[in-house]
Amino acid sequence: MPKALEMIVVREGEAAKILNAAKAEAQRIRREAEEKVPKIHVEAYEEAIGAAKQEAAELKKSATKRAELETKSILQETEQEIRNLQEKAKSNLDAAVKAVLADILS
Amino acid sequence: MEPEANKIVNRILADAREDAESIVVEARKAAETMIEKQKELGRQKASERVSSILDDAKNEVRLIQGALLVETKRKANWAVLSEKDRLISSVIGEAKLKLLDLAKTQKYLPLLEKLIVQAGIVLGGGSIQVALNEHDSKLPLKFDKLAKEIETKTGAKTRLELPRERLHVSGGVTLMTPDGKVVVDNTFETLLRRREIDLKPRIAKVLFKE
Repeated sequence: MPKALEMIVVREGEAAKILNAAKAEAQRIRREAEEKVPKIHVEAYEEAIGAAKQEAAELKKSATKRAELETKSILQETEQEIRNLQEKAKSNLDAAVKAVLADILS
Repeated sequence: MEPEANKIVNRILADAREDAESIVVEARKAAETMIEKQKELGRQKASERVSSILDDAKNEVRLIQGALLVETKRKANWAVLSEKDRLISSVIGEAKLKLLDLAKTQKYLPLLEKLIVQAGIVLGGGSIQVALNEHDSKLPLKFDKLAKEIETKTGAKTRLELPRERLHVSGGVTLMTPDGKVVVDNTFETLLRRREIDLKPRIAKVLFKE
């Protein structure tokens, strides 16, 4: 066999080895990916649920805070309203007592 | 070896390496795609539950806000009403004290006489018992004159008598028929109690005006 032909045969053998190794590597990559699939699936599911739970907790926290602020504001307004009533009652006490006596004794 | 043959030999290896690289790259891409797809499937599978979690949270938020605000407004209204009631009651308490003071003044005797005549008219005259407290029983009440006033108004012959029993009240009078079946209670305590419900809105109007 001429030397050139002999070299081609040798190189083709080497090329076939390289390709086989690449195919084996590709197969390994695919197999590893397939092995990861269930775990990835569960992780993605749990991650989405976890994020939703966190968002829900933040929603509740901020809503509670808003409601507490509003409650505080209502209570402050009420305290002010009561103070106003007490001031008016103090100013008008004598007139109110006179009105009662006038009614009772008329 | 001829240069042309050498080129071919080298090309065989270069092509093989290129193909091998391509095979591995494609495999990696396919693996990444598979993993991304699974992630997406996992997220899709979770989406219904995610919606449910968020909807529940939003409902809970509405309930928290609604319940808290309703309860707070209810408490606030109750506090205002309760304070108004306390202030109105203090007016009635003050009025009671004023009536006690009044019973010690000269204005009281004509007032007591007026209450006796009013009650006597309500009873329609006749024989009437005039019950008083210990203090008032000693006042110079002119029963004959008062009986005449009642007679004038009712047309019925009237006689007023002071029974032995004394009332335990701050002032005012209770008139009754001798058999005790018909009673007109004009004591201060009863006058106030009787008028309290009607008086409260009127007190409020005066007490809380600007």
